[in-house]
Amino acid sequence: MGLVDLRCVVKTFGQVVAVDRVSLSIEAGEFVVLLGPSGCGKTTTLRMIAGLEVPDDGEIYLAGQRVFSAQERALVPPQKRNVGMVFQSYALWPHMTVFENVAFGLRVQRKPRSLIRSEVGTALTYMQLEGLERRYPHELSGGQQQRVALARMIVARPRVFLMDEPLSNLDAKLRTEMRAEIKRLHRDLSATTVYVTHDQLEALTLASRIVVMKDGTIQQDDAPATVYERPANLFVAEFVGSYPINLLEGQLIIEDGRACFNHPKVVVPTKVLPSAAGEEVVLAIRPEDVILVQDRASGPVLGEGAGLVATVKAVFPAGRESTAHVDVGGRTWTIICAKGVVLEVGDQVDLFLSSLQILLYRRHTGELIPKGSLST
Amino acid sequence: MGNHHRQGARLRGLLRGSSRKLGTPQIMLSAVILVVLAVFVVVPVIRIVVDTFVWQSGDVRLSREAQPGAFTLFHWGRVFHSPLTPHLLTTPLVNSILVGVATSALSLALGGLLAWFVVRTDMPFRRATGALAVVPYMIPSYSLALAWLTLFKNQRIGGTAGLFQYLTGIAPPDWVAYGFLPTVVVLSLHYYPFVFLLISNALTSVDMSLEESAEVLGAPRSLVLRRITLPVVLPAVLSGFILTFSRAIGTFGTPYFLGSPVRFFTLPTMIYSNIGMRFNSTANVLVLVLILFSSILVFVSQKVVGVRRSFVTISGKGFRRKPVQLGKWRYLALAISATVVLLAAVLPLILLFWQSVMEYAGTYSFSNFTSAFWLAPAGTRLTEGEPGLLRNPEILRAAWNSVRLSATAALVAAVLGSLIGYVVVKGRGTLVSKTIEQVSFLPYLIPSIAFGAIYLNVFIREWGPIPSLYGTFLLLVLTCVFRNLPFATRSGVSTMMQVSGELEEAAQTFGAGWFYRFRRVVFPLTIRGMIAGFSLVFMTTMRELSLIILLVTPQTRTLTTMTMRYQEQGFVQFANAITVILVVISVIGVWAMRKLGGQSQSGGD
Repeated sequence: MGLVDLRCVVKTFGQVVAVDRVSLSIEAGEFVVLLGPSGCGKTTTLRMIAGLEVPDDGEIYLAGQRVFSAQERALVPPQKRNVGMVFQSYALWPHMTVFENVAFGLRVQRKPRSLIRSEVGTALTYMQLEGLERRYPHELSGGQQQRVALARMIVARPRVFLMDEPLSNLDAKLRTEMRAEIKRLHRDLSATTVYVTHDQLEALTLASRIVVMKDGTIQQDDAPATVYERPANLFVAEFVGSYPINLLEGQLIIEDGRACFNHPKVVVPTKVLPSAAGEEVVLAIRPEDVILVQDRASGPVLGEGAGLVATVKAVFPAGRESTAHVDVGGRTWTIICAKGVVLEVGDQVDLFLSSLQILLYRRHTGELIPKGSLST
Repeated sequence: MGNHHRQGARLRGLLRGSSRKLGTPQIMLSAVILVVLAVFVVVPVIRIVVDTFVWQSGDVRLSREAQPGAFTLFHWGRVFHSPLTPHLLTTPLVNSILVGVATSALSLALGGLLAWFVVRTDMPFRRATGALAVVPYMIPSYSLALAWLTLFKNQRIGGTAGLFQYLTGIAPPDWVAYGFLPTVVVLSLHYYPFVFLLISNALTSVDMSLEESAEVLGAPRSLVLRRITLPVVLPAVLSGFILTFSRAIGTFGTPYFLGSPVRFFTLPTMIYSNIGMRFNSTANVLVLVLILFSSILVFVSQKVVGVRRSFVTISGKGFRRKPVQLGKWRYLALAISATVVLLAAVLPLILLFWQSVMEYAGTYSFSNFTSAFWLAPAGTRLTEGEPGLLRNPEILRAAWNSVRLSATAALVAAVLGSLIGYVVVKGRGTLVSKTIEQVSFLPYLIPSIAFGAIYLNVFIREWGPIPSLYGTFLLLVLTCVFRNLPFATRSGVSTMMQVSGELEEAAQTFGAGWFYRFRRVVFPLTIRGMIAGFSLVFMTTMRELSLIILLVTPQTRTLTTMTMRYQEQGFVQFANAITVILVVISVIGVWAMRKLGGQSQSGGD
């Protein structure tokens, strides 16, 4: 049993099923990110762990203690769950100073005054907030408010840290800074963390495990690298990744005894089993995996795969690397060009798709077709 | 099977939905509030309906068939189908409607014009005009009525004539001095600030780019006004009209002072007169007619304005563009605005004060000056033995009653409003929350005099565990609290909405129990909103006459009801002096609230 355990949890709001039979087990020390678009049920899931929402069905355990069970009609209220939460709005109490905000949890626990003073001092120092004790929240910058919210959470020593989109109110630069801060926090305190975000980059950089959600159900529950490299379905494939993943519809056919992706413009040998032949599929490939062949004659060894010619539709220079939009069989693909490569709109470019890098999804279900080598 | 199980669970969830969402203290609080609302809002309304179908003990005077306690349609028949119908129902109803329509139209004209001057033109002293324009609403409307009498009274009601006759020697005809015309003028001067606020808000918050983009497209000015500006301001105009109308038909003081000399009755004054004659059941039928009427109005206004508002985009940025250049007309605009403000706020007060220092009412000369009505010791011949106001223990007690009543009612209403706001916001979406919100809105549909009549009817006798409250201070407090509940609740709900749920939830995750959270987080954050609710109810109660006139007894008299008593007895000077005192207390009150509200604003966060 994990430190946090959800078993077949259901939550509805009126007619809307916000969370639909979600089961999730989180081990001590993990940094789990619940990732998904707005309305996917990630925040509701987090709030149910905190006890701020009461599920309609299922069971929830915290450190082995049953905190909710629909069948047994058991419910432990939030104030008795010993979880820490950072809210999207930070929820700093505007009528209390920084010190009072941070000390709140310890005061509720009726800790001695001297202990409160030293603990709060330590937390504020740790979050680099010395000297701001007497300020009120509105006298702080967004980043400082965020630090106070974190200090307030850690000082109460909760069993699990819950964070609800804590960085969404910060500008891009501060967000990077606070991301590092949260990572440091997790490393130093090795605290079990459940973190909700709709920002896939945040998820990839912070998580030890990503749970992708959509319409109240879990789409994929894996390590960040797996989620990025082998998305379980087309939704995850399109949702994760800074650049949109490139897609192309086609069929699986058999050529020379192996399954090949077939499209009027390109036929790519694949690694999936021949038994899948005849299926309508969608080919997906990350922009950075599409190889731009500069010199057809003296190109690098490309290995197994297939080449195709595409027309450049737009170019976006961005310093370190440029991206370009190209037309592939009516689909717009994004490709990445290294520094020094100059493309013009209307250019014909040679692209190479490696058999190893392509992902194939069933068109009607959107599910990933496993590679033959893995399943045999 | 799994699906079946899930549906079962969902059903269970639905059944327990409300109780599970709220913690135990919230459930208890909701339950207590529901009981309170049932006892003081729902049941009284039901009881008054039932009572109109039952013979009352006093009805033996009216009909030999009366059997107290038995079912009867007599009261409804008496009002709707009897030789008395024109006198009891038709004429007062028509009068009320006419007064309502005329008052709304005149208020709209005054308020709309002033709003346009202040917001959209280059009239001088716009800011000052804007600030002064709302003052008349702080003064009780019947003080304007008294001032009107001071000015235009003729000898019909006895005593000396008014200032107009004193100066010109011409006696104003009855239709100028009393009845429809003065009622409409006085009520309009009192209610126009409403319309002014609504329309000037609409005019400032309309995104000017809407108009500018139309002008850029080459639309002529008149077209822009007709097709863009007017539709956008229309909701404010409509709601101003309907609000004024529904208040005008429910008001008592002004039509009473100005109408009774010529037996000009509106529904509220007819209700009062029937209760005065102990025809309570007849009064109750009229009360129901009035409630029905004002409910229809509120309903219609919500339909009309609600639909209209939905397609209007109001950005709230409040850009000011180049104001309309009035040229030399701007001084005319200023003159009009100044006249309205002077007539509605300044002149009445001067007149009332002047009257109160006259030895003989209506003689405007220095030799006639006396401070007797303010300062004379008891036994003075001039005042027929009554001591001057500032030495009169009865007046002092009435003043103390007024302040005590307003403060108590405001405190209770503010606390109750906040608690209701808390329960409503926390339980948002549940049936309990919706019920509580709807029921606390109910008194809004009941005009003041009708509300007073209902409470008189219900609490005059012992009711279950509640003893007879007639003649007690408590009854006045309860009446003022529950009549003002819609305003207190609205203020409480909006305050609680601002105190985002996350602030309380954060405290909850730190292990803070309900009482701790309420004390340390919710209460400190809502205190400012509570002060706003408090001052609203305080000011309303301070000048309240219609609501409590049926309920006061000599022990519980307030300044407002003393005014009425002296007016009835012909002590014009006393009546006017009390009104002056009342206005002074009101103004000090407003000032103090502003000060207090401002302080908690600067120190609060």
